[in-house]
Amino acid sequence: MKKIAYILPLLATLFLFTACDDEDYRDPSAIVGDYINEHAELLKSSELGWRFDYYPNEMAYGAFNFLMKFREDGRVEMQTDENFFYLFATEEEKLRPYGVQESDYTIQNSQGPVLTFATYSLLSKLADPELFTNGSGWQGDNEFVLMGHSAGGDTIFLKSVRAQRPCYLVKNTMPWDEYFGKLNSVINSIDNPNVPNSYFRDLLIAGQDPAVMTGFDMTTRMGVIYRYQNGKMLADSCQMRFTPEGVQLKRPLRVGDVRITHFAYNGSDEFLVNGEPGSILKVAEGGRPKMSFSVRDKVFLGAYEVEMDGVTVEETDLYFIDTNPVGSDDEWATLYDHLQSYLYMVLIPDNNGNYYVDLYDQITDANGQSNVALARCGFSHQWSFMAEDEITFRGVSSNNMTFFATDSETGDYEQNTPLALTLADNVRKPYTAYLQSIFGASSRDRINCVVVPSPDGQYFYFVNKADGSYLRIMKM
Amino acid sequence: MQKNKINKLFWMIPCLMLGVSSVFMASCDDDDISGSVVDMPATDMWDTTAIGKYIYENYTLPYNIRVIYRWEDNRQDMGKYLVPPKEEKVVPFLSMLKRVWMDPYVEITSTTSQPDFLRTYVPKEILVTGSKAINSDGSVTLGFAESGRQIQLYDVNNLSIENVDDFVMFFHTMHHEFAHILQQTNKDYDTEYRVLSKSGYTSSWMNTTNDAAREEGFITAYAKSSVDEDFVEMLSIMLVNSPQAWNYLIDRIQNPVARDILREKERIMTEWMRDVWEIDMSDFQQLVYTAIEKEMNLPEGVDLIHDGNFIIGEIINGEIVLK
Repeated sequence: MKKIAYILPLLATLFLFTACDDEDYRDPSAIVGDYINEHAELLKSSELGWRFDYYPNEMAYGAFNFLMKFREDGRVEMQTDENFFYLFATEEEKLRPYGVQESDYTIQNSQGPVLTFATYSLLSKLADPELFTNGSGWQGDNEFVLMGHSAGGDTIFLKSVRAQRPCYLVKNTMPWDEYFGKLNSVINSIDNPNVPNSYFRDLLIAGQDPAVMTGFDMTTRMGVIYRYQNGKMLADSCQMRFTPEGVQLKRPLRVGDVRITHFAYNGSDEFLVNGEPGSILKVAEGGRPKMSFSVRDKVFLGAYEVEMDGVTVEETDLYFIDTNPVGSDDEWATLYDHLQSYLYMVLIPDNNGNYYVDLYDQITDANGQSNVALARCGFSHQWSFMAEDEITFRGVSSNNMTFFATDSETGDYEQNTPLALTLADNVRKPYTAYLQSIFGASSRDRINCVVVPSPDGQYFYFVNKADGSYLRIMKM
Repeated sequence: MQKNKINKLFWMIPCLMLGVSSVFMASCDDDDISGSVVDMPATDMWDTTAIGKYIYENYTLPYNIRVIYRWEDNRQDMGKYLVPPKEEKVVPFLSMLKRVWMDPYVEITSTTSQPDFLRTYVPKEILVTGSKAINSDGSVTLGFAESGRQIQLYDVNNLSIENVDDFVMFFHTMHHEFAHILQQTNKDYDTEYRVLSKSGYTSSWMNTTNDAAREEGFITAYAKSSVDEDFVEMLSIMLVNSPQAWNYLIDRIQNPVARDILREKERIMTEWMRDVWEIDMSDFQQLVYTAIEKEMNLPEGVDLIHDGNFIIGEIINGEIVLK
């Protein structure tokens, strides 16, 4: 063998060593390798993991809360609040205990360094096209480009791969039990199934007429604030982000002079607006639905007791506001441009323990006159009642209302027009009743009333000009 | 001479050592790339989880298949909303796939001149995705075969024996996709086959129903899309039906010309399977449809009739019971 055969490999290694000595040259894959290693170590280094408040689609949804702990073995531990856990669970998954779930994560280097949630996890539910809606789901992502981290390593900057939106992992320093204990209290206070008629909440801003805030939609984490502006009621929806301390609004909302950025939970059933005393969001309501109407462009909002013909009316559920008032704009000033329709159904007991049901939609103001028209409209509603009850459905005109009652045991049904159903004595069995009507603009009936407000503004009479009957609304 | 030998050795050892060490030096990288999560593809070898072990023993070792169930960046269609599979669904899914798709092929080819058939022709990668692939027009893609190299299967998270239509449809799809791979290898049937329905093929096949398509001499509406699809539909639908169910589908066609065309297509297809692959279609059919019925825990004497998309009825002890 010639010596050159030995020298060549030696020379080759010398060249390689020389290449290594050149400090300015670094193999690009080594640079990325270092970057990935650095971020991988940072992810794994946080003992209590990271907070991921994730907006899958910033326009349509608020933020969903995750705590994540990235382990050495390629597993990520994840937990969400209780509300999300049960709302997004399949029937199978509801049987699992609420708590930490494990899945795989990887960090890959393909189109840049990417953090991938590699098997199905709680986060995947926001990307799953088959939950709730078909096709796109919540438009969340499974993978995120690692864009960098803050100097102190407290924040990792991400960019979602599909949506190309920035998001953040923030280092968590609160024990998981404490974090979710507090977060669950905040969310359960806002979205409280035990509060009847919890759709509306009072937003009491010091020195202002009360605004009303509807309940949050927990599937989207959006909230709506109704507020006054120049005597008109407007609605603003806003993306919400829950925290252990309360609720952050994604962008500030104005109510009069007050610029609301967040609500701070006080531990019971109130939130302080912007964390300051004086203005509050009340979430525990006693169960009175709100009514809102205006007379002469002045808006009256609040809980009212309704009396008809001397009999106190019990208001029941909330329903929807008509956004298509009948009549020209000149005659009708509707409050509800931006809101959904409300239908008021009042069950009026008579003195014999029986009920009348009156149906009203909006109560609107006639321009320039203190006339208020109560317009009736059609709807479909279902009650169950026992045969011993006598229920009469009363309307000004019964032409356009039909009443069906179905015997829940035999399935037989009868149809009654006019609206009255009196059931046989001594028969006690469940009936399901449907009230349906043919709905059309021309089929609405109106009662023209004169509005007579009391001097102290505590109540109003709506007096039916035709027959003198009246509806009295008393402020509570 | 000894002196030379020593010289050789003297040179050789350090060169070898340097040569070997230079491989490590060359990257100028001091970092120890340890930890399975960093910058390594999800190959089977290092995946020591239960799922990884199952795949290695049942797919990789015997058939050289790599099953990708973890989400891998840029392997998925970014135009769709997709999620990775739920971990607890992966092994049950793969074992079912094995029983209904792979084992019958292994068994039927074990006595042929290609006992290594499956290992030779099976795609080297199976990509498993959790959700359906919902297209922008609302239609759903169930499976996708990419030129023999990869098959992608969707909706693993939702596949269950409770959803009877989807379940059988899935195996129809699986056999359909694999048939494409065989078809790409050998098209001896083509000349004779393609003249049978010369003018019927169309890109607006979705405007026909399966029943109407059969009246035209196509086994399903999708078979109308091209000669190739026609062929693999014949193959895959015959396999997932019992002989009685298959004959029912064809015999109930009212147009006698269409019936004859379908029987002719069946003949060409079964001859091709026999001549090219040494597979007897009726024996193979027996293996496949009974494997499906076993997965579904169907009682004895009950067979399903799969029409290409739905279960349209059952055969109960020889009697046709339509839905």
